[in-house]
Amino acid sequence: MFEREPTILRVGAYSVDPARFADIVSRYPGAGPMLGVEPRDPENRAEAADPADRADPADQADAADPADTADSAKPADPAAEWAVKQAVLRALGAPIRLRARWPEIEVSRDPDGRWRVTSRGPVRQFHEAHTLGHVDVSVSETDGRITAFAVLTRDVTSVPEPLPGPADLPDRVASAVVNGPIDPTEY
Amino acid sequence: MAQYDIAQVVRDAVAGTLGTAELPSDLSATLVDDLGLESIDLLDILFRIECQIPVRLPMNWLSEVLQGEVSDVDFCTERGVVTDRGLRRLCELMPQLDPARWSGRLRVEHIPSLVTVGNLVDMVRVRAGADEASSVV
Repeated sequence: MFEREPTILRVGAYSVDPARFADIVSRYPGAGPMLGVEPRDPENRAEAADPADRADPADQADAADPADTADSAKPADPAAEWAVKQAVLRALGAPIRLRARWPEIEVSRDPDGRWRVTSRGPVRQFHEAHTLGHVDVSVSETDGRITAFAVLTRDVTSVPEPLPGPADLPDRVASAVVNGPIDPTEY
Repeated sequence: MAQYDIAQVVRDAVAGTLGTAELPSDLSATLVDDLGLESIDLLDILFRIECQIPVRLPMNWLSEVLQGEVSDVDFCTERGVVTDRGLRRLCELMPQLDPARWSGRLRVEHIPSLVTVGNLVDMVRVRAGADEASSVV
């Protein structure tokens, strides 16, 4: 009867040069863990998509939305993955102290290409406390740059204005509703 | 840590990331808007500094030091706009910020673009001092 309409609360976008990203991750052993991505040799992408390389199910228990952690999830390109993390943090409106907590956001792709995002730790706590909603992600690659878009939406149900109850009416009317018919001559 | 010229180390790191032999002489230059660096480049700069001096500079250190002890709700609104309280905190670290200009207009994601080479020198200096003190203890 009533339609549920997702309302867009905020959009976050981030663009990165994948070559620059790969260069930094390959030069510094600590960069991958800090950015929350696993560096991969492009030649080994097919191997990395193997189910054995998927996230540990135990880790997924901490996911913000368990429904978002399908068994079929596969790793994403590290640069795209990081761009998604940045876009998601922006869409969530996360405070600056959380903006570098990339490892707490897990990003993967379904075989059909759909992006899946889960969070844990303080990022998840912030999401649940302040910005409860659903995050939709899309990624585009143009002119050698990867750009991620994260859209934070929240379902709202379109319902008509409720009829006034006793608490919404003036005292005398409320009393009449509770106690019996209103005498129109009193007003 | 006194044996290191931290300003020089930071300038070297910035120049290395920029891929130029010319060191940035203007410490008031912003890393993003003036020098054209990106977020990922900031990570490169921090790693380069770590390679030169004994200091740990994880990215979450930088983001946490920017917010300081200010709580999330006091630092920015639900829409991601820095509050006046948050702006006062940022001005402690980035005294070049004009509160009158940015009050109610600064978004969280824009903060890194306002960090100057000089701001980074100051923050690394504080961090290096803290690391040194903790290693002595």
